[in-house]
Amino acid sequence: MQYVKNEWIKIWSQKNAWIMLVLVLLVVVAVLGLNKYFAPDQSTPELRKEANSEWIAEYQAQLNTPGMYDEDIQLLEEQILMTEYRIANDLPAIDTVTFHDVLAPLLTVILMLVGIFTMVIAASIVSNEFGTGTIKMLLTRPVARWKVLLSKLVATLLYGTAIFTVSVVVALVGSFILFNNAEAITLSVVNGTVVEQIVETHYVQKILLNAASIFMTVLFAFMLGTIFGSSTLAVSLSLGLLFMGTTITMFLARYEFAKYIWFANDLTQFDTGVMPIIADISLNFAIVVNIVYAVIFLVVSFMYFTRRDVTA
Amino acid sequence: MTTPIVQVKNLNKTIKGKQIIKNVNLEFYPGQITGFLGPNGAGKTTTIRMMTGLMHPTSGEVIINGASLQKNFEQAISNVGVIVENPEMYKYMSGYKNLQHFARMHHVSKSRIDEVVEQVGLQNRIHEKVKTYSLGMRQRLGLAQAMLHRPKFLILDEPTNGLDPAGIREFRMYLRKVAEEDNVAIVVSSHMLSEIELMVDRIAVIQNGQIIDIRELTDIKVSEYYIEVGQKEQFASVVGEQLKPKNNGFVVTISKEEVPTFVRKLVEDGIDIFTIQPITKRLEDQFIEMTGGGAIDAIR
Repeated sequence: MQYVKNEWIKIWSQKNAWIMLVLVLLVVVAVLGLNKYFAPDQSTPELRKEANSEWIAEYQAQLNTPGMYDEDIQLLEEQILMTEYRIANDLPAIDTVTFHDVLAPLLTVILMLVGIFTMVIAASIVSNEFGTGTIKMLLTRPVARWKVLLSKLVATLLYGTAIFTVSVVVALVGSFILFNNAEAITLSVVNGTVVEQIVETHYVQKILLNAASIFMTVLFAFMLGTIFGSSTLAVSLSLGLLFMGTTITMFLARYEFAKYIWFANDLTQFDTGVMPIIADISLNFAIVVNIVYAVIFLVVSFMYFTRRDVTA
Repeated sequence: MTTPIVQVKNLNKTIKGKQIIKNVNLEFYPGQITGFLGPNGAGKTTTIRMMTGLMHPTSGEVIINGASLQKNFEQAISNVGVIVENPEMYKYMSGYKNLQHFARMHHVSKSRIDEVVEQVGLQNRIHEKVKTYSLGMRQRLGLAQAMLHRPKFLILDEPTNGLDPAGIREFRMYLRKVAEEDNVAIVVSSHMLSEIELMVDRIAVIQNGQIIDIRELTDIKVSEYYIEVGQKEQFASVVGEQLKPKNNGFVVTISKEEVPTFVRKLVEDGIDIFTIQPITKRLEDQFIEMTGGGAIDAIR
């Protein structure tokens, strides 16, 4: 669509867009670099054996401390058993840094930054035009107002997708080159024998849940940016509300109505290992609430934008 | 002057309970340049914004080339070129990219962009960022974006702001050319009455949200003549009371049709006529008359 192309060109003609992309990439590179710098080198069988032997020595030293509980002694003995298994099977030591050890937390950081930066664009893409007065040039064209607004929303989402894709590719390639890319193997002791387990990191689940959450905050910021003529106000208001929203919801959690608050239904709480704000919200319930809010945000944005008088 | 290309019908606008525009009716004709005048706060900008679709009228309609701006926005506005106040372009892009941006919204070809750039004389700087442009260059770019899609109706709000005298002259000639060659209807609002006077065929005056006068400048009836004669006393007795002394002669108030009879009578009476000339009122004087003077330097 020609109008989306227009908005896309305008986004990338401004320094902001590039600064935010470079910031995400810098963080990715820094995380990769720091991990590489501090990770123990276990690239050869000799180094792996040495690292594992050091761990056994460490466990044995702990076992020799007087006054240990039985449970602790059992735990340490299991650790020694597992480490011996690692030596026997030429596995890296427990403190090795694998591909997944780097990528999983890095993905969280990328998603957070992409979310914030896309929100900044969402809040400013409409309000900027009012601030500079270019809105008058834009709305006196043979293009209905809803089409102008829709193309701005689509371009914002494309921007988010673009910086996410670029940074994930860099993170993926970087960690693939720099770190041990074997499956992350954890061991456990079952009935005195060592068992291997492959740890699955749920990347797709994590990305989908976060993308949905980012989509909602983008719609919210877009609505504020459409209503307020100042991009500074729209950006700071959406950032502020998002950071305070969760806290406020926690205070309100004891009331019944709290589960209908948008913040209480943020989808990222359904990711593995995350505590929900309100315990009894199911995934389906949260999805329905999110859809209702999305419709409200969109209707408010579009109704207001198509009806308002432009006095900028 | 055949049928109007633009009809503004019974336009009303009420903002916060206050009626700002009261029943405005206007018509604009192809090839004619209309000056839109009015003191500050008279409703000039509001009327122009309603003609460009930026503001919605409380009631009434704007019909452009047969399509209603209120009911059929895309079709109606496709005939309109707009410069609202200072042409605010995207400063972070080049002039050319700005034009490409608007061309995409009008589905205009690349060759037309180049053509317009040449017409406004920006070809040497068009690929530089707009933030490096002078105000005069921005006005030229503003004109270029308004002409891209060959509009039938051109709306210019304060177009000569920031142009130097040579620029204003050039601009005036360009508008005249567009009006005559492309048969475009043009409406120009400006606070510089002397500029408007040289540019327009017709003026519409708005005050307190109402159109108080529309007149064509070409057929303003000159009803006062300055006359110098040899025999002043005899002249005074012949003409009688409608006589005002001025400089070395008199000012007589007679219509154009009466002039030949008047002159013949003087000749028959043996009065020597040295000079007789019409007194043209300047637009500024007329404007002060119409609006009751006062806020003349606050007019925009």
